[in-house]
Amino acid sequence: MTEGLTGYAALGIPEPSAESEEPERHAAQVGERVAAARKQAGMSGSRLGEMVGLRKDQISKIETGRRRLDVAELPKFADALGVTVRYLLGHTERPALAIAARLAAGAGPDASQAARRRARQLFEIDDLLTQVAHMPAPRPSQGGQTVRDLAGTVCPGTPSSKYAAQQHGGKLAELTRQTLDLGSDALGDLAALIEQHFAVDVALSPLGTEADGLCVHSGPGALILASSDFPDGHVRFTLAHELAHHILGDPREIIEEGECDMFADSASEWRANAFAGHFLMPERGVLSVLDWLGEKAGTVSERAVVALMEHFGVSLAALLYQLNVIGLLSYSAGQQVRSRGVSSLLASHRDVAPTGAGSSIGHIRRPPERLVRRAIVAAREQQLGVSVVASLLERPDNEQLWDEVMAGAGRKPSDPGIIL
Amino acid sequence: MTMAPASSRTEPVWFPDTSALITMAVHAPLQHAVRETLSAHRRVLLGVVVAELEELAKATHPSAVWATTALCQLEWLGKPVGVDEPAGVELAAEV
Repeated sequence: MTEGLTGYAALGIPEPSAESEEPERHAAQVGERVAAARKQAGMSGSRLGEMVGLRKDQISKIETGRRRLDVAELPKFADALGVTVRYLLGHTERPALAIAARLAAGAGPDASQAARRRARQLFEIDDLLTQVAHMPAPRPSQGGQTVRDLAGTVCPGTPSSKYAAQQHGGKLAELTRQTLDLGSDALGDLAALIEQHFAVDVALSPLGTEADGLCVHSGPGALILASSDFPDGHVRFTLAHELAHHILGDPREIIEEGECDMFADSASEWRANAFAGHFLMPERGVLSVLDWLGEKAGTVSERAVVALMEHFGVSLAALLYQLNVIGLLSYSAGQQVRSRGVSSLLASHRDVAPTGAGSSIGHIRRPPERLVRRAIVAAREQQLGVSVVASLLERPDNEQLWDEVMAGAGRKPSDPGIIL
Repeated sequence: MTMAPASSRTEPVWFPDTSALITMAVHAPLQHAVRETLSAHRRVLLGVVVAELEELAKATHPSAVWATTALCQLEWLGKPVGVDEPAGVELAAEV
């Protein structure tokens, strides 16, 4: 039998000599990174000490390399500072894991805790697939990159008024539709469209109705996570709104969205809402549907409102907002329609809204397609267990799932009959 | 027992943990089978595992006997790697 290596030789590293200065140098470097992360977090030495259960003088010794950070203490320091253990050890940073750590460490509003937990899980799986299954980083399409490059020219700086925000959002939506050759009709699978063009992973999960979702920027990529416990039209508006933040390079790393945030009295939110409205319901497309319905010029009947909701897959509130913006329905007329209630409107005009698209609540579970595809391939190649696929799909890890994943071995994940 | 990718990312390295070593100490056929299988592989004994076995060896019967037996069966795993040294710290964090 061949004898395998043991100890340091097995690890391919030299055995440290008793006089080696390496441990001291390493302790000093770890200490410097602790100090840098603490300053970055705007935290005092006393506060960090409280969080990790040490005195201020002990923190000071660690930061100056006079006290070595024990391996058991590393995770506590990483959690408290919102960084990863890898960062403290000076390893090459893994962006997805770093964001997962910050999502776990950050104390966001209670309403968004479920979204934070799901986002953290997705970033951890992203890191796992990158490390073990060599998943490439997401890349924007040529059109998507062009939109991002030109976004600054149609939206120069922060808009100074609601009107300017409307103009910016509208122009950006027009640029996006034109560059991606989307015409002016309804957009189909918005989540897939965003993923295809913008290096953004999109996930939908039933996360309750306390918060709409969140958007996390990680360098050139991003994750948009929305709660599917809202009507589908509302979810689509949230996705488009978050896309605007991403295209415009919102400097916030984690954007948490409740209804109050999305409609906050701020220029960037007005602009994102204007983008979402024009992107989902461009004026030309709306006019074309009204023409097809035979509406008299300059009027929008209740029946037309219901037909437009169905056609564009949007909520009543989003549609009335957009009809008002493009000057087809006054605010008071919109409120009158709204007072009828969505259910009543749909029941009265079922002929033009057979599916109730936009107003139905799907409670959909949609993981990012990039992650699911790679996880399925990795499971089939036995690089990872099926449990990773189960976590992504939010399904039980059982024989049925195993059969579904493995039944397709030898086929492409995109082939019909696979769980996607 | 934990398996981690080696630095070359091609051949695995085995890290026997305390419970694995104690299990092997109380069941000789199992220890024989594991040694037979893993002797051809790279394997690393972490200093913290030895320290834990030494602590258990001071404890009450029967774990003290198991831990002592385990401590006498470590030769095939080579010299322990300390986790208070940079390489060891990094490994422990990875594993």
